[in-house]
Amino acid sequence: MNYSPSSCGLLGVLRKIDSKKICGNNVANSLELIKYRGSDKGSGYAAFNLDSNNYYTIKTFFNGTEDEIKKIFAEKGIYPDNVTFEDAGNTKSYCFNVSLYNNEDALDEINDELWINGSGRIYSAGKSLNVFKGVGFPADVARAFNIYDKEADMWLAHTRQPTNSPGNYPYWSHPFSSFNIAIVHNGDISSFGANREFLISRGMRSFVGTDSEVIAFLFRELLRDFDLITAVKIMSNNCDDPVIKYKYRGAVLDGPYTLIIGYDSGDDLYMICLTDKTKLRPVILGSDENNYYIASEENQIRNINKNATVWPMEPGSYFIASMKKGIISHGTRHKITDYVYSYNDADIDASSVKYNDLDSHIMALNKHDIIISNVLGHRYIGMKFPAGNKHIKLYGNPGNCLMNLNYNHDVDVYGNVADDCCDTMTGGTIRIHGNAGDVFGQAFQNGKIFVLGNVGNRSGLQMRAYMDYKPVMIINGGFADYLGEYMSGGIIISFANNNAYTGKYIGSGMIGGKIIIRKKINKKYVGLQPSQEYVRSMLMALRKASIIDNDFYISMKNKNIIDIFDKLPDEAKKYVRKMMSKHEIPSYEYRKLNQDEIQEVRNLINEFDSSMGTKNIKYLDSKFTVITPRY
Amino acid sequence: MANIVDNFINVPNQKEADFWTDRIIDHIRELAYTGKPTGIFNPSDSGNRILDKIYFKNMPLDLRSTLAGTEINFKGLELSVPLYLGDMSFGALSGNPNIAIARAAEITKTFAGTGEGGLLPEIRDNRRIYVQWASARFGVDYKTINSGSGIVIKIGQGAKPGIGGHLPAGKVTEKISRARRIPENIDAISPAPHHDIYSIEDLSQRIEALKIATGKPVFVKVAATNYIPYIVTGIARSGADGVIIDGQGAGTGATPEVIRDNLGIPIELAVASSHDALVRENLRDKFRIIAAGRVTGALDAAKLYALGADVVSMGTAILISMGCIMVRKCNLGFCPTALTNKIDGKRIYDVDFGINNIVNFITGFRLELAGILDNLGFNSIKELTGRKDLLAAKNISKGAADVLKIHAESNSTIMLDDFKPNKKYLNEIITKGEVPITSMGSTASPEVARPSRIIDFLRLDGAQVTRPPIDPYRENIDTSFYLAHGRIKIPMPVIIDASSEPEDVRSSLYWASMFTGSVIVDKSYKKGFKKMTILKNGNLLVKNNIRYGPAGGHGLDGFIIFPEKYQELRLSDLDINLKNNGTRYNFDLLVYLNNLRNTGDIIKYLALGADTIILNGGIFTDALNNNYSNLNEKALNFLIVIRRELALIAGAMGVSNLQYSVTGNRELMRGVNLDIDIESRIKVDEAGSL
Repeated sequence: MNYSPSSCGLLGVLRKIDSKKICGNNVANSLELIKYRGSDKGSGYAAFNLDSNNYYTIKTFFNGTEDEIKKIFAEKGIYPDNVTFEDAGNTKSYCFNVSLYNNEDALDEINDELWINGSGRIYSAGKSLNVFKGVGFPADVARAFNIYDKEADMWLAHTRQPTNSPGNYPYWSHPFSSFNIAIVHNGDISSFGANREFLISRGMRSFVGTDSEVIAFLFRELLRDFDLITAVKIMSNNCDDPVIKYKYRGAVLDGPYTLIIGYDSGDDLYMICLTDKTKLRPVILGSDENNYYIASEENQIRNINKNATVWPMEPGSYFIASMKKGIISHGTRHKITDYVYSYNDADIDASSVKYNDLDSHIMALNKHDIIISNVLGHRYIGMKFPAGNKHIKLYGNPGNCLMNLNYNHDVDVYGNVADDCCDTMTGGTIRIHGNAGDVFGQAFQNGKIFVLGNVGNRSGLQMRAYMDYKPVMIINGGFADYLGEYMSGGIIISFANNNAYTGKYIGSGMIGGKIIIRKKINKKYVGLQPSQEYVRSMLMALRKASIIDNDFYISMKNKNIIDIFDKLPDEAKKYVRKMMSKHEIPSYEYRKLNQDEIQEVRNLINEFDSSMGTKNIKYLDSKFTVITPRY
Repeated sequence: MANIVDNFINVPNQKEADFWTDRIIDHIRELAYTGKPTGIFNPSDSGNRILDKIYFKNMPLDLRSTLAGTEINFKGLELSVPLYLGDMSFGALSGNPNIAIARAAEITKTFAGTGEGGLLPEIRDNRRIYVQWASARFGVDYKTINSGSGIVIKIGQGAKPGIGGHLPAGKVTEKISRARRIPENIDAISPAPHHDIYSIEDLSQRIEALKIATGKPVFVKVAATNYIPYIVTGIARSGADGVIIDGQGAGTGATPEVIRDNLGIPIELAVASSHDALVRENLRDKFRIIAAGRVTGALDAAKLYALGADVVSMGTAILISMGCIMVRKCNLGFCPTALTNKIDGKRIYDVDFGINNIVNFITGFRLELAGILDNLGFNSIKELTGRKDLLAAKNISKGAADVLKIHAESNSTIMLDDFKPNKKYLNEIITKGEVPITSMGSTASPEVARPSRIIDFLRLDGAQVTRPPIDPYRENIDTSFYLAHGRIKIPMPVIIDASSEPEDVRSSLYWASMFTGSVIVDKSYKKGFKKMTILKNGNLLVKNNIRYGPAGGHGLDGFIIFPEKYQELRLSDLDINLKNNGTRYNFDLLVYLNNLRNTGDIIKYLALGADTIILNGGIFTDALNNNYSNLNEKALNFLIVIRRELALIAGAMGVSNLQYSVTGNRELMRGVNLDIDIESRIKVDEAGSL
């Protein structure tokens, strides 16, 4: 059994119908930009060209001669002509074009035979699709297949960081494909074994052993039975029909994943992105006048078009764009705002600085006030000088781990920041004039963090206060799921208005501190609550045991546990509390701030307004959702 | 006046079989008392670990001389013996023991991990410590990570793969609040995953960040789980200096019993296969392996070095040398030996007593190790790492021998004892209504508790670097199941058969099933509960037009697999056959169980293909121990704790949806010393397999 969860870098680009084909040069360079996400163990590209063929291009890794491979195909009634040969490093790849007349199944049979005999694998077989993959860094593989000069309507690209051992053969490189479907994937599918058994029940017999290949097969199987959107919903656990959920219970993905699927429906091309329900792998979406983009990091998109519009993907959602129909599903409910700034006369131009080396340049300046331009994906900024009182202005898009462990520096970012910003910050001020990524301000314990846009998943995760340390996070916009999870101190304020998108599970596991949100939050999005159907079962049983009466049952049966709990008689609470663990559900109020609270936040909001150019102080007397620990 | 603990306390009689037998404890105490080797101590005389069945070929077992060198250089530290004092935090231990361990590490020239408890001022300047970067960042700031000579990124622990930590508010005193940099008198919660490390790429990013900040070596600590050789090669590629692999049954201050007894694999298999994978990938040279989990002494250590470890880690053994008497209630804060008690000034551990004992124990350990090296004809410990050729084994399965790659006389007959229920566990569930928590010790089958079923040889996967665990108390894990073509939805894959229980018990099971939104099996409708009852009519279960019966019946919505000696095989065969003929997803496979050791059983049956388990109500009735008070509450406790434990296990495996991800997912299991024919028939690999 080979096992290949992958930690990788992804890129997908689809052109708009009136635009030119996309040059492979852009794709390869944008993938090379994040080569640190991958390794020399594998990389690959999938090119889709809708107009090109009415025959299938078949590509097969094979440890044998051309005559042998021809013979294997001929036995199944497929007669390759004009076989060309590519050297994919240590493995030979044979390529030829054939027409298939209702005998697609023959390819599956050949694939089973090749793999079970240990002699090879068909890795690309499509009318518009051509997969190029091998062992090496993105640029190595791009050079080997001359990706730079190729053009396509849609590209998928992947750099691989295998956690499995067989990194030395191209079988395990991405993209994986199944006829007119190709996928690139960053994840570790925990349902992998169950998904593979589902495919076995559908007659599949051979697997190279990676979850990524299984996903490609799974998608193909679902498309045999369903339309595109239903197939996407089933696979991403967004389908609500019990009959389908039952019958396709082996076809749902679980575990961390971000997935880009390219699909040729015959008359259109689709680029699809799926994330797991808590978005454990990074992804950013984008568009400009020519193309749609899906990438692991924002810098990959900005590398192609500095002024592209980008937006984060909502956890557990899906993005679908079609070449002919445009965006079918945006993958977010956030209002999309561009935060693109530039600065001409900076102390440091980061465009020629290595992704992990900006700190050396900052320290070499030996200055208190430093302005840096063209920041594009630079990671670990501040890690070499965690303590101090510099004032740094960053223009562009810093990468992950910005100002971790910060103690007393003052930083402005003009642009969006990536994930893991301000981890374990113990003092100072960070102002982000843009959006912030996921896991923003984890274990933040002292100082101030201001954000002009929205923040990602799990912002303010386990924020804490102790002794005279106190953290404050103020967000002008909305937030994704799990805001303030495990929070044990400090204060988070969001000025999201009633139309803004805000996430679920707010304050789940909260044991201290306070979350204040301008929007009237739906109570069901606070903490982790038993679903309505289980609340009703509890009430039914309590009525049955005469602990509550029928009137109480009727009045409460459609409410959330957060409404019901405090009204329950003590004996009922004893039972209901068993269904909730101690820290699941914080308390919820929608009210005006009291005098103490106003006293506490007034100056902070004034400071926010003056530094971020907002006018939030005018809301100080209006109502807020206030979330605090229940116990 | 504080009570000072500065002497050994007698070890009470153990009620329950435990890996840490009196014999092992006595040996450690003797070393701690005398500082002299006692001979080559062989714990295998009574042990059932695979490690116990491994022996050095051609090595005399008497102690002749202790001349060989045991020193190594380890990432810039000169060690007198390749020993790490494993990761016990301030908070888990009561402060003085932490100081004693750090000072003893200086004196003995070994090194110690601080765990995730921050740094006490007394040990901040100690060079022979590795500080920890863990999910809660307890005690972390830029100064802490620059202390000591290395950093450990803790991803997982052998005692609780995929589970976070929880120090109750009562133990978070002012001193702990300062050291951990957290609020006083509020629960200290460590999330199960690192929310900045969801993948190997994220891990590599965190390693790079910590190296940029400190320039120190960075180690990654993981539990030994199903894909451990792959995970370890991934960690090596991610730029770490080494790995701490923590095996099943390792010590802890608190773990859910059901997790400790079902998740993770033995250290000996994990070390052997990880070492081989690293060698094969040319990643072994500069990368170091620290092996942890149930290391009792020099012979265990010597075998682990030979299987591929550079260093062994001891935690429990160190605590025993310091006076631990294995009360196994560290989490409650009343430790009689003052090692893990609440820091309230009432009972205080004597630092010098601790230092003296640890130094003696390590000295004795080192000399016993030198004796083994002498008997093997080696001058230095450096000659031993990776020398599997010196080892052989008897009475282990062919699968285990294949993983170890050592010569073994294989034993392919499967030995099953009569099933004995774990009455203490079941009774605790129904009376307390909480997931039973335990600490220290190791009791799981097949190595300590005697196996009585095939599933007793199976271990479950734990989430790790590339697949973060999910915390079921704060995040959503879906345990609900659809049955009968989507016509039944139940909150968890467990249905109780109440048909043979006394009337009052039967009523309580009805009520609890209604409360949780589930269905129940009975002989006839019970008034007021109609909606949710499935009727039992002979072997046939019926609800409205839904019918379940024995396998092979016609016109059924699903099949019931009734109890028999190899019930697991019957289930697995049926699941595989139905898949092979393409009809599996039209049916439910229900497994009827008369016995339940713990909730882990349910997950294992699901992974072998079951859609739901029907539990004989007698399991609940027996657990009552003839106490028929508060039946409704006890029945509810029974169902709720099973559901919580299902969610806990699922989360610890990195699974957010039981039905989709666990049913038939044999990849989530590994066999430990299980007959290879059975493993291949149920399609489960041996632990540690590549």
